[in-house]
Amino acid sequence: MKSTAGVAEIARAVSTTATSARAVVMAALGRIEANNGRVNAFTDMLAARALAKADAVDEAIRATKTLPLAGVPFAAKNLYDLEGLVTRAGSALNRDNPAATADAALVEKLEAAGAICVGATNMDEFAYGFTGENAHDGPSRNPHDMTLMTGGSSAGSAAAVAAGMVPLALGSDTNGSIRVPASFCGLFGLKPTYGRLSRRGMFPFVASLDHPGTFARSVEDLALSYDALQGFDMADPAMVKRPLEAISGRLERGGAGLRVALADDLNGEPEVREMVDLARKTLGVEKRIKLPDVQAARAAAFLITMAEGAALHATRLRTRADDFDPAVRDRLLAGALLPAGWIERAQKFRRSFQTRMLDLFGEVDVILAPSAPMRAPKIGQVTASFGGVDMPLRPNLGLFTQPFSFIGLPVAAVPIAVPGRRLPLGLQVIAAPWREDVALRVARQLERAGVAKAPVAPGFADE
Amino acid sequence: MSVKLPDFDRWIEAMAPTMGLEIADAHKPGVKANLKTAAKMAALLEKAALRDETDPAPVFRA
Repeated sequence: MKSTAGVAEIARAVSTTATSARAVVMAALGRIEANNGRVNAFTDMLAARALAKADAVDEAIRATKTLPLAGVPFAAKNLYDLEGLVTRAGSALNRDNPAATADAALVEKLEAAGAICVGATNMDEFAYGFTGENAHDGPSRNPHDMTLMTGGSSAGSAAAVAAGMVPLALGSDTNGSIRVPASFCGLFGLKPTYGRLSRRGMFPFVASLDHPGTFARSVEDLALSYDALQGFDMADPAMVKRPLEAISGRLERGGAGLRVALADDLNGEPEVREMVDLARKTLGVEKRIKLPDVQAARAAAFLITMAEGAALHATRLRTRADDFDPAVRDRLLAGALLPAGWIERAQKFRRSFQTRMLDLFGEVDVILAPSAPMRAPKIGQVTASFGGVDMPLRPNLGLFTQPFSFIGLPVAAVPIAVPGRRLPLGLQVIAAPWREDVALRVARQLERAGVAKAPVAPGFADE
Repeated sequence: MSVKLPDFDRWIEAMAPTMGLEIADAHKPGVKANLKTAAKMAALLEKAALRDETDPAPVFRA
């Protein structure tokens, strides 16, 4: 299969024995070996395991078993447990931990559907960053332009899909860690509702904000994988017991009958506004909606993240502060010193913001907002212009994503190709809780119109 | 946004030992920069109107 083959295409080809899972996995491993030195997407490979699983998939297909993701190679951010590997979460500190004794729940789910994990991907240390830079493993590089950031923290997962190494990757999104790299690398991403997918076997960051999710190069591919990932798991206390809501058959309804509005307060740099305007016009959206206290929502998410993250790492900060990535360490140390009253206020505000946002979903079904205030910055860049003011880059890349993950809303990240612009830019399609279907339907409408697309980056696509 | 910021050196000096943390001199500029960002965020949040009766949402249910 070519590097451009997606989840649906591969699963179809393997299921009909037009090709084998082994051949697909071999090709993926070959592409990773050829390109990982440049892109730095993978930190750990699982070649032997992947080939063994591929043989098992081929045997199951010969035995006429139905596997919706038959032979689809995928990557997992290295905070997902993979049996036999140490779950490093981008850190040097975790390298001393014992290897995982079982796979994370979502790895199990994908593999039960016939997909095959080929390796673990680079990330910002302990998921605390939006840049894709890592002091221990080096930065992941943006396949669209190797001098640019991938965005993070699910950096290598995004790079692997954008470079055509795999058609699908697991990431996680606490404050924007799927949506920001999806924007910078020009990919579709899905951050489902908080409590929708199991976090069993994932190294945590901020328990009350951590969401698992995925990257792919088409809406259909996202939907197929999302359908396989659902299912209640009592091992994750945040999970809500809901029936399986398969959505891959419902995408073609597009935005028909949906009330869509543009968030009024999140604008970004001129090229970002241009991208939003293109999406707005394509969908025929006239309505604008003012979000309540959106800056305070972002501030509250920021403070909760600092404090919860610091509490998680308190022992390591006391005993091994020098072993952290410096950029992460200083934020966590500061987080350990915050007054409790700030955090309590942030959690109270969270409830108030949630109530007001849910009221808005009485008026609209979907809210559109850009994923990031700017296009991918240069690797190593530390400041950037935000509305004409030079500000630190690191804390501001999540400006537009934090308010929505703060209250657990499902968001589809959609790469919009603006004519004349070399790099794609991401749009958030935000829906009410548990309405991933609605977010993906609108994403599909944009894709069908030719405005949203996620090609393998030039230079990585097979002829 | 003009926010009256506290003395971060004194803050670190008082709080770090309370939390059992030793903050090396080399780490202090970074820690101070992050405390400053946090203090600005807290000031922004302080302006938001909140009712006494509002429950916090530490474990969010959508």
